[in-house]
Amino acid sequence: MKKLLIVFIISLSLGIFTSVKAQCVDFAEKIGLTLLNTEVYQHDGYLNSIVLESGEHIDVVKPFFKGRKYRIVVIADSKTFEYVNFKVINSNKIVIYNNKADAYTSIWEFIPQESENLIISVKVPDAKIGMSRACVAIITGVDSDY
Amino acid sequence: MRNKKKYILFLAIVLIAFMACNSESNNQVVQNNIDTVDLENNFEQATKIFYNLPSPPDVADLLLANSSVEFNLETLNKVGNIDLYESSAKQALNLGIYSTDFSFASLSGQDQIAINYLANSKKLAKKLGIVGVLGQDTIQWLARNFENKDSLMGIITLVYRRSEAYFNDNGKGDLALLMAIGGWTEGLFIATQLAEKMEFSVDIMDKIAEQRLSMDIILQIIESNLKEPNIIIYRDGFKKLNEKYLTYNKMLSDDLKDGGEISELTIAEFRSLAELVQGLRNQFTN
Repeated sequence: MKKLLIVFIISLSLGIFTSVKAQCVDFAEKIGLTLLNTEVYQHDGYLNSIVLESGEHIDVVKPFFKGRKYRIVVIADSKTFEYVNFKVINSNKIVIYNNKADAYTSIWEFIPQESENLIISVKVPDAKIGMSRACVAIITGVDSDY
Repeated sequence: MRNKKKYILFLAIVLIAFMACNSESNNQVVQNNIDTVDLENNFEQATKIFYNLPSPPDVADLLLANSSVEFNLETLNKVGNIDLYESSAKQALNLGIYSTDFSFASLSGQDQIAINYLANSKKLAKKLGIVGVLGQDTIQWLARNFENKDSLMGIITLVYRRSEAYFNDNGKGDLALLMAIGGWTEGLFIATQLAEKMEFSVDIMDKIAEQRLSMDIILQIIESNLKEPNIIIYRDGFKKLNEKYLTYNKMLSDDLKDGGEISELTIAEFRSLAELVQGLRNQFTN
């Protein structure tokens, strides 16, 4: 009986965990792709979605090619976080964009002058009280008509 | 006297305003200079690092855009090869490969061929447990709307996106990486074959050189997945390719300095690089 209960609890936890992940993907597809505006920007095929706890950060490493027009969208579904901070860093470790300078906007568009691998580093802020979680997604597209 | 005072006051205001602007722009410069990140530390502390290689439609667009050369279908992986892929690793690699083949075929206006590749991508996705990635109605819709290339790219992006998300959410991150590596390698393989046909035009040679950026990412993927046997087996092949790439890119850059032409030596180096790409691609498809 005890074993059955343990199996049930584990299955339930796994189910909830999978469901949270699936919800995160749904959120990234619905909100992220809308903000990307797929009629103009061709999505690159990556949702980069993950559930993060307060204070955690993730990085996306991706090549960007000169002369193309890119849109980067960074979103979080939690109301407990006032903002999500993202920085774009080049291979010389220089921060070429920080959304803090734009009131923590979710969208940044740019045309690279050089082809290079860039890092999009995203951090959710520390919670004021306790721990909070949020689904975060980083979505990129290129303007195919540019 | 009063005018003189006003004049001095005016000058002082202008001077202060100028200094303030100057100081602000200096601060901006200083801030830009010091706004750096300790990348090693950053990566170490990251909860997760996502590596985004160019996806199949992206790699086709990058390498084939504005190219008027006639497409050689023999270059693509054979549709009938699908039955060879029994392990999930091979299936994931070839899901990426067939998706890239679809992208190249559809960009080249080879509609029926492209549909066959899409059907193969769907079959492999199903074998890998990815359900509902593409309904039969979507394929039928495609057959009727083939002139809309943007929609086609949207469809293959959807297949890629759903597969990638499925792998990552089901503890199969290695398969997501293999799909990306397979798709990118196929794109590079097709481009190297096209370069021969395009008589080594600067445009295609330069586009291929730019793809070395993705090599850096593949090497990072391999180094951060040393415990994944399905990935580690390609380590030596990609290391060799990277070394060849470095030499080729240097030679090409030297040739093209001051508007020069591509030398025979660089072409020979390119052919040697193309052989390595073909070797890796054959490892994936056979």
